[in-house]
Amino acid sequence: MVNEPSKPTSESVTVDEIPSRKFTALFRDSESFQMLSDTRAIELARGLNYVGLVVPLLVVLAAIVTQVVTGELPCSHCNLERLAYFTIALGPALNLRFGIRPSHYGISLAGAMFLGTVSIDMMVRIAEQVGPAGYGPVVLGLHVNSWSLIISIIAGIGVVLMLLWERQFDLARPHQTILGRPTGLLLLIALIFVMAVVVLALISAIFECGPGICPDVAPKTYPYWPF
Amino acid sequence: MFALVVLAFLVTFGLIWTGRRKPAIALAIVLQFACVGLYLSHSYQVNWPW
Repeated sequence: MVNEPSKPTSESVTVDEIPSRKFTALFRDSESFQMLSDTRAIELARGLNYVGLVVPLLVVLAAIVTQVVTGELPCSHCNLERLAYFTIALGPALNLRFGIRPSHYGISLAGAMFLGTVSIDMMVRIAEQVGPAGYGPVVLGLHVNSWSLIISIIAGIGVVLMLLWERQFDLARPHQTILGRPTGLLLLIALIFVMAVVVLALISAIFECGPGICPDVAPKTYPYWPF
Repeated sequence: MFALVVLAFLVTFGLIWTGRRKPAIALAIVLQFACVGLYLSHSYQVNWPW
């Protein structure tokens, strides 16, 4: 007996969307809003993912440089925030390597939420203990924990906007990196940079925290410095 | 423990580089739980204004 395919119901009828450059297409099911050509759209999507990959690691790199230059070791929450930045960068790395998928953005969203949680906890806890003076280096008038909260909000909004842009998921299908195929030169350079920053953070973590969890209060010197 | 988590992030990026998508995603999810565990393991007392 041959099973006949189910006949389409009113819920499963596909609608052919007509590409349109008018903003009213955003509100019509019969039209698809397309400002950019396919090539430009995928270039924009990949470019934004490169920004999402590199910028969080630049923040961590700046923190590490500040740590080395000023001698101020990061506290436990500061170290946790570095982990959150790594998580935020994981999503774009997956997108650029394997093609753009909503699940990859989900990992970045989780990182953004974790970053916001840790930075708020740090701000509230320090506000209780130290007062409104804040804790940590000040950059452009705000403490670094405040900047982490702002960055987490921006990252979260950015990921949400990218998830709302459905066209990139359709366009990304033909551009998926074939497993085993070498990465492009730009992605290779970006990944090397990212992994180099993670290695620096690992070295810092080993010298400051050793085999256990990091101390709540940042020590004055590296407890596990071997020299 | 913390250094181990950072090392695991390095491994995750390495998995992405070498083209192993699903192991990278699996490790990323495990790392998320590890990060939450590290966060909760720190002794802190916050009087949240409930």
